[in-house]
Amino acid sequence: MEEIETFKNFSHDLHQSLRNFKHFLSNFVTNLKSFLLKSNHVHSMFIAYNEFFKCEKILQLLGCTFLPTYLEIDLSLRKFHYKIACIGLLTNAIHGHISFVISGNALLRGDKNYVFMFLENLSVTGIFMTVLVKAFLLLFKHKNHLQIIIERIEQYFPKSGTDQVVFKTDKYLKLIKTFYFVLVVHYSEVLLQFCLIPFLHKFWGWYFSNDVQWEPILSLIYPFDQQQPIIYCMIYLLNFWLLMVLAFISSATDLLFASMTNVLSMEFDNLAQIISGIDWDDDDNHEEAEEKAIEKLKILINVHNDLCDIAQNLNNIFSPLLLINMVASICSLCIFAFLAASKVSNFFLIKYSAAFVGVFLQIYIHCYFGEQLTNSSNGVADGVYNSAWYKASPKFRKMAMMIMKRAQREQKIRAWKFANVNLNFFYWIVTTAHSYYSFLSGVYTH
Amino acid sequence: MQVQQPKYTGLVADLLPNIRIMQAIGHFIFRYITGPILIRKLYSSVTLVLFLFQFVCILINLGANTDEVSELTANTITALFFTHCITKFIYVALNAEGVYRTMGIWNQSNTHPLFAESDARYHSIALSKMRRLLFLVTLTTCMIAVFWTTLTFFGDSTKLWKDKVANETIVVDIPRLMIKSWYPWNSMSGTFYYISLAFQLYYILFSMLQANLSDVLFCSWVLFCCEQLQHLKGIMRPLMELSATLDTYRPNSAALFRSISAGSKSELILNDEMENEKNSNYDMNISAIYSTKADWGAQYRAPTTLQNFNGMNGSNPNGLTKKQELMVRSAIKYWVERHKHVVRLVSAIGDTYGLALLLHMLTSTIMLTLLAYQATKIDGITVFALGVIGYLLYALAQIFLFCIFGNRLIEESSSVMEAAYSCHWYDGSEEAKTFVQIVCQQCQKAMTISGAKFFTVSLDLFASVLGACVTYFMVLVQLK
Repeated sequence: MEEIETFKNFSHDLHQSLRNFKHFLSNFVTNLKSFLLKSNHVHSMFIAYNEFFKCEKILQLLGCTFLPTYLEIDLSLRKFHYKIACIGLLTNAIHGHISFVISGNALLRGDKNYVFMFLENLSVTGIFMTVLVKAFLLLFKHKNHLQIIIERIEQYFPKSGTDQVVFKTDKYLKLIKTFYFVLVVHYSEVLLQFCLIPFLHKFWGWYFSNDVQWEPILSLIYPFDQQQPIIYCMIYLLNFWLLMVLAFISSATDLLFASMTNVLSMEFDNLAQIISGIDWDDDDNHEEAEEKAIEKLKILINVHNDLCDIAQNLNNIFSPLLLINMVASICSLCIFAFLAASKVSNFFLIKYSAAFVGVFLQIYIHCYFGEQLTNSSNGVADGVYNSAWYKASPKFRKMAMMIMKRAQREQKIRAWKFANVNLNFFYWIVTTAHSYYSFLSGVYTH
Repeated sequence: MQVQQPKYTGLVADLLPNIRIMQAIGHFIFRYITGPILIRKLYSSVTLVLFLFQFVCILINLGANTDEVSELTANTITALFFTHCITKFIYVALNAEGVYRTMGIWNQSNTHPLFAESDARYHSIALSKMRRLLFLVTLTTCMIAVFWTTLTFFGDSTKLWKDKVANETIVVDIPRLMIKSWYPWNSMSGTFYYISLAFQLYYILFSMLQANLSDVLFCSWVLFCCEQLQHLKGIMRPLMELSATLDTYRPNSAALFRSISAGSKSELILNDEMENEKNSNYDMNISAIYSTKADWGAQYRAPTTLQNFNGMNGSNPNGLTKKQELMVRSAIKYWVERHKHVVRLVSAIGDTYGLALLLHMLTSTIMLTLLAYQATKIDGITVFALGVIGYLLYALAQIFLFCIFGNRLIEESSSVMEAAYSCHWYDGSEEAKTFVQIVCQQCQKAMTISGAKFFTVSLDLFASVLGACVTYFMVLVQLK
């Protein structure tokens, strides 16, 4: 009997401790999640419009501001920095072109040693050209237009705490914050790798008593010998500064695009939600309720028009850039994959796989937010269908039909008339880059 | 003897420079001229004979050098290049009636006094764009001819010849001319060399101009259609405002019918620039000049008293007179008739030029495949490399030219629906609302130009051609 008693007690204790352990584990996981994502459990905390545009801080380093609250800061020195940065990028892009032509010529004449230099030059030139075009177009030519767009978007941003709870604004904020985090961390990691690898390589060579030369960060063709210490230091610092500028401009403009598109799709979702809430009780005065509903619908049509117009303007600004970006990205992806898999040295593998992931992330951000905008603008049609149109007169129904027809013509971000930037496009880019990669590895099989 | 200069109207007047240049370089277009036609027919026939002679010489040269593969490829590419020009030449000659018919479609267009200003504005935009396109294409073609001639004088002027006896490839000298071609005379040196050089220069310049200018004619037509669609989109909002006066009380409907003195800004046209939502109060500008073809006459000149609520006018809440009501209804009719006119023009363009585009695409596809093969043999920055890259860029640019205009037409015609939605249609009359509904339904299907029903002319076509070219190149490099 006692054995049975002790056994029962033992199993009871075991169950209890297992339950405690499960409880402890779930607590631990929730705490860890909230720590990593820094989410606020208090939902009634008000989210300011500026929170969606944290990329401002990076842009301020280059003397650009888009939000009105930051206009008081003195930016003349930073604007000068921006001009110097643009000139630096331009000269480096031209140098990259010249270098690419020379190494291409040497390669075509049959000298196989120039393969890696040629490919590196091609990818570097492509990336520098993209970033130069972005810096020029977005931060200089279209700055006012972007400012106007950001102001227009702000009009429809939910401004009270209760509204933000109803429209789940924090969900969108969390989304953009994860992208910020990932992109900024990765870019700084890539920068660090590119700049530390020469030292590591030299150290490796010294440790194993091989004679290893000082490697430059960006292997372009220079007319003078790079191994002399002073020249090497100067070129190293120059390349380091250029890469930093490149990382800033690239990440800031991509995050600006992501933020604007994110807030715009949030507003389309809000519109859909408001329209689907148009309803009235059956025992209300039918005509009065319908009159009110029609008046509300007229205002919402104006809002819909405005949002579609903003999306069009956004598309017009970003679409040429996106085409150049995607073309350069396809080249860079296949070249980085080829260089990383080429077994030349371990440092190539580390460097170029990090750069590969960087380019990958960049196109993913564009495609993800383009798809989000398309889906949100389509959702307005669903919102109309979810309203109480069946209770209403033909007048209301005709208006509802017009809205649905317009909403089903989605707001797309295009890569300059060629393709819609969405996740299908991302898939196409990756598969095209893969086919070019297999072509390259087929041609150069050593 | 005074020769009265005939007044050309419609598309002919807009495209007159293009037509004149085409007639000057020998195309078989014999209308729209003053003077004897016989001389022009003679000139065109002589041009045709000369071009065919040179083309046959190129083909004979191709036939005589089939043993060596690289020579064969290079000669085939040259032959295909000039096939374009001959094809366009003969196509326009055979299809001249189609060209005249397309030009004549816009000779009579409807007008409406309220929208004449907007019509004129977009017409002048179309005109300036067409002139600019013509200038750019002519200039580029002349520069290409000069570049080709200059490139001939660099590098070795030789060809590879397979000696059957010794079974090896030897290098043989040929005359330093732009195109490798057989001539019935010896063109190595002397007078005949200079004659051949001059003849080839004439041939290159005139052939390329012929092909490119007929493409420019096509693009100008499409451009005109696009600007007409812009005009229709622009007058959508005033149309809605006007139709709203029919059965909704509008406090300032007098403004809609009042003519304003010159100098006020007309806000008939919505700008495409970024601006905030406009409020609906704006004035309309009525042109004081009515078209002679209009059937309105002088009875619709501005009435000054409108706000008359003595109930004399029956059901109209704004007190419009019968004539004004008729004017409003006629505005909708104008819009629909104009849209149908544009649709007729687009289908005529497709019928006239579609087959030429199909033939162009067929020739280009073969030429680009062979150019991809030639590109795999580039071994440095030489005359050969520059030649291959030049051919490639030229072929792609020709395709890009008509693809981009076809794409623009598709975009414009399918965005009419967005313009219809963005005006305050919900405040309009029932008539206006159903009008907007039917317009939206129809404009969902975009107006396209097709290459004899095989493909639609859009940027997707260009992207697929480019993709195919890159694929062939990659496959050929791996096979090497």
